[in-house]
Amino acid sequence: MDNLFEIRDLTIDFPLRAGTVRAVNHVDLDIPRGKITALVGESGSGKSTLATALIRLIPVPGKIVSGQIWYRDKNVLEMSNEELNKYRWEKVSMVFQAAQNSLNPVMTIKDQFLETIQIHSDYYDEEESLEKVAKLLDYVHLDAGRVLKAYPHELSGGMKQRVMIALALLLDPEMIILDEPTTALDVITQDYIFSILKHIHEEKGITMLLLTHDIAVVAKVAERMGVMYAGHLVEIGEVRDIFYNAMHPYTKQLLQAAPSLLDELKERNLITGFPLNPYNPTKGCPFYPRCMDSKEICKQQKPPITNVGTKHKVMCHQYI
Amino acid sequence: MQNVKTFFTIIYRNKRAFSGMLILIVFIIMATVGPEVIHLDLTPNFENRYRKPAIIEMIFGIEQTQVDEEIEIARNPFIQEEQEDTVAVEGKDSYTNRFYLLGTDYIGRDIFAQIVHGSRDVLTVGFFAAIFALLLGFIIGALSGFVGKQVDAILMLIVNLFLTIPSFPIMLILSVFIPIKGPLIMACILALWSWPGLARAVRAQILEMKERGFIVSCRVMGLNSMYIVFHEILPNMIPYLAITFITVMQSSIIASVGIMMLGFAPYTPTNWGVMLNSAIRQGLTNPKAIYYLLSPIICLTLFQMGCIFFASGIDEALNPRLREQ
Amino acid sequence: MDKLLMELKNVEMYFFQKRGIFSPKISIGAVMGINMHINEGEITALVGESGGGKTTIANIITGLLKPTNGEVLFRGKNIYEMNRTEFKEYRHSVQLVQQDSYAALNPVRTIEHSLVGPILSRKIVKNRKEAIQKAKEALLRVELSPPEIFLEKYPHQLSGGQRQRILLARAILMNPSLIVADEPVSMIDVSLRIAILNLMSRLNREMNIAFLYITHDLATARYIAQNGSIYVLYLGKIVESGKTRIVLERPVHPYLQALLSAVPIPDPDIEARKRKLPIKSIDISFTTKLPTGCRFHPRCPYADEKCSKEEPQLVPIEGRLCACHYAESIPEWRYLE
Repeated sequence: MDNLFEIRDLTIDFPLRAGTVRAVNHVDLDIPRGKITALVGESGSGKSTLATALIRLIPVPGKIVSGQIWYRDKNVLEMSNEELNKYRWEKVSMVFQAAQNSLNPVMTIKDQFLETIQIHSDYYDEEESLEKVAKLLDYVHLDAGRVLKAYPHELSGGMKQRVMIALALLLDPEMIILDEPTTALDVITQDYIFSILKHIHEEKGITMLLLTHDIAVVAKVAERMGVMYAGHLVEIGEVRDIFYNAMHPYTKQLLQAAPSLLDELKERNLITGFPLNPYNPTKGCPFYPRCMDSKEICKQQKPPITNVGTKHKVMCHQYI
Repeated sequence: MQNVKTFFTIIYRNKRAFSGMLILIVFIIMATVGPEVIHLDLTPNFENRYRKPAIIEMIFGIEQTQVDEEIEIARNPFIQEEQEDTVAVEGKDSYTNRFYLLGTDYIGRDIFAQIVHGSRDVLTVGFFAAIFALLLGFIIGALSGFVGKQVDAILMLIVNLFLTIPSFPIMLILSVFIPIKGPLIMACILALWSWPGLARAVRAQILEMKERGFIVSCRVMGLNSMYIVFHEILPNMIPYLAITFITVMQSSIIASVGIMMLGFAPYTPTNWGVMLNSAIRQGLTNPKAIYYLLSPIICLTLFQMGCIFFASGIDEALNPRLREQ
Repeated sequence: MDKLLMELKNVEMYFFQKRGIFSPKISIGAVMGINMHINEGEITALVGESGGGKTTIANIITGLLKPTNGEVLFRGKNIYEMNRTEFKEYRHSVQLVQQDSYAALNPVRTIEHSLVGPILSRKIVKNRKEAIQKAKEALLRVELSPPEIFLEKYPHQLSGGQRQRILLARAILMNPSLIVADEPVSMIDVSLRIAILNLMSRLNREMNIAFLYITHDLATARYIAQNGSIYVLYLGKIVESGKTRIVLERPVHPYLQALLSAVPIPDPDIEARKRKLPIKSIDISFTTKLPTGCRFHPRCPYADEKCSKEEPQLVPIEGRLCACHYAESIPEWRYLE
């Protein structure tokens, strides 16, 4: 299985007035072709920033301090503007968080689709494009006749999200990045959207990178998952390996913290301590203040990444 | 007091706002303390007309041909042949030995002294115009936004009426009919056209804030409207009100200067607008009058700049959220 | 123990939508036929989708919205017929904790002001010194320590979890009997949600405060209301209600069954074996026209003609109430194939 993307030693800093925040901290990540990879992490974990780096849309004032992102044999971080225009949306597209607000409120859905096609093609034929759009909308179970002439505010949240997915698929990309695609949607619509995504994945073989804080969703959809904490990739592996054989203390606590419908109703343990102060990074392991298994070395030294199984890696001193 | 200190620290950090604040402080000192310190002599002194600013005179020397035929004839139309060398004679109608910081006007009076004395009037007008406009605008806007329904409809009708009538011509007309004897009345007239825009903006902000989470919480806790308006909403509007205060002050001053420049309501001779009026009438064709013309203009411009620069930094200084960014 | 605290009787709320000068105003029923009981010291969950009427009910219970029809009773008395003293007591007894903790706090005021101002103004305390003392106690109760530090902060300097605790502190300062929590944990990180839920459980036990926990997340509803009741709302009507254990162990209403099937389980093997969602994949109508008859019938796999004509009423079945014509014959819900 070859990799569509190979991220090496990526570090992204945000110089703010109160100090510099290291949003992504020397991350190595492979995104295999044709699979659904999930990145799990909470606010401040750096997963969204990492994803924006993949399409070079890091929000200001973020700066890439080190690293490369290898796509085929090109480094995305060194692409020229013309290369980027051919790359963005045609090779990699993204469905942003709360994407429902990404639609232009004063344009009809039809115009937004057509405009996207126009910008990216040298040759543009309206009829042909409309046919393509109608097919895509059908794919995401939307009634093209009704949806195309509507304005965004006339559609429900779930419908808008599906429009965004269709927009992301418009130019037949190789990979779609989905950043929390189902926030603000109810659970039935969420289930629906994920079954659509799985369907698209099965039929078209599109690689997907799913960013979420909800591990249950990962269990439902993904094949491979990575766990991020405070800008570090602390664990990565196949989904089953991580769920049934979690290694990193943070992963274990995450799995514990989600109340499930099927488990016994007992008072659950909570993760102690508070998240790190982002302006004051430590030289040791970032999870040290909240870790149950910590030792002295964890405070002093950042743990290296160790292999603990087939394609299963962990960043923790316990496993060296 | 902690807040006052942080306020000034933030202004200091923003160089533009800081320079604006310095300019305003200079003018405030000029207006409050100036007239006590600098003596104003309004008696005409024809020998001294159109003297140049001190710097220029020091570099280029005083013009010897100040006194010329015109003045001789003006003073004494019957004596035309005599007195050819009345140049450096001591006494009332002759050169004084001192230098004038900004030069003299068309009848030999110190421009700088007039500017200083005028600044007090100008700033008073601006300050009170802003206060009146702010008070009226906030009360009406708050009533309208908070009470709503009929009260809102009626008040907004009045506001819209005021907004559609062009302000400057009306102010000109008003200043003819209403005897303007002092800065306060002038301020009232100027405030009359500034409050409607403010009322509308205040109302809009209150309407938006009414639905915000923390206001809803107040209602659930049973807090009454007065508490909500003064303890919760007003603190949120302080940056906006501060900036509006400065902009209303700035625009009122321009308006008052404009009114006086056109010759209306000249209730004091030293107001910059009146100075401009004289400068235009008496000296527009005389190139020596340039300093007389420019002085009030430059002062006015500086003052406006001070206002604008300072206002640009206020939002950040007053809003705790923006400070951390 | 089962003393009735708050009751909604046949509450209905219609919103009117203007449609231009020449069309008559049409009424949209946000919620209809709502009957709810909230007992003292009990945790009740209200579950439904966004836009389904949950927030409307929250606003009706907290007295922010007057229902078009029906009665809102606090300790047996209609809140719209109370005199000033009674209403004041109601206002203090029923508090609200909102979803967006950032919007729920005044951004330009310190936490001290937000906590101390209301109790001073409502004369719950005698003077400022007592108010600050009580505020510190409340902060300790919500596990924010040391309280002095938190009093000085502004909302934007705190994390989402900390702000949510402050909202709870503000609520308990009013000595409430009921706290209505509208999606209190949806904007908090997953690993921190349990902590807030545990806190609410503790406040419920220690201070005998009843909670109405409003959410779209069944898993957390099940967790926190495990010893209480649950109401399931669909498009403005209650479709099933009863003791949480009974309702969630053996759900009857097809919508609830679909909802339960849709909740993802953090277990890949189970997820792989899950049955397909027992629901017809048709969108909720996004127009303002509600379905005739049973509101769920367009999506219900068991619906027939009767369902499209007649609206079902809540009838008791197997120890809870359910609004479905065929409640007795709906197959038992199973999670897996």
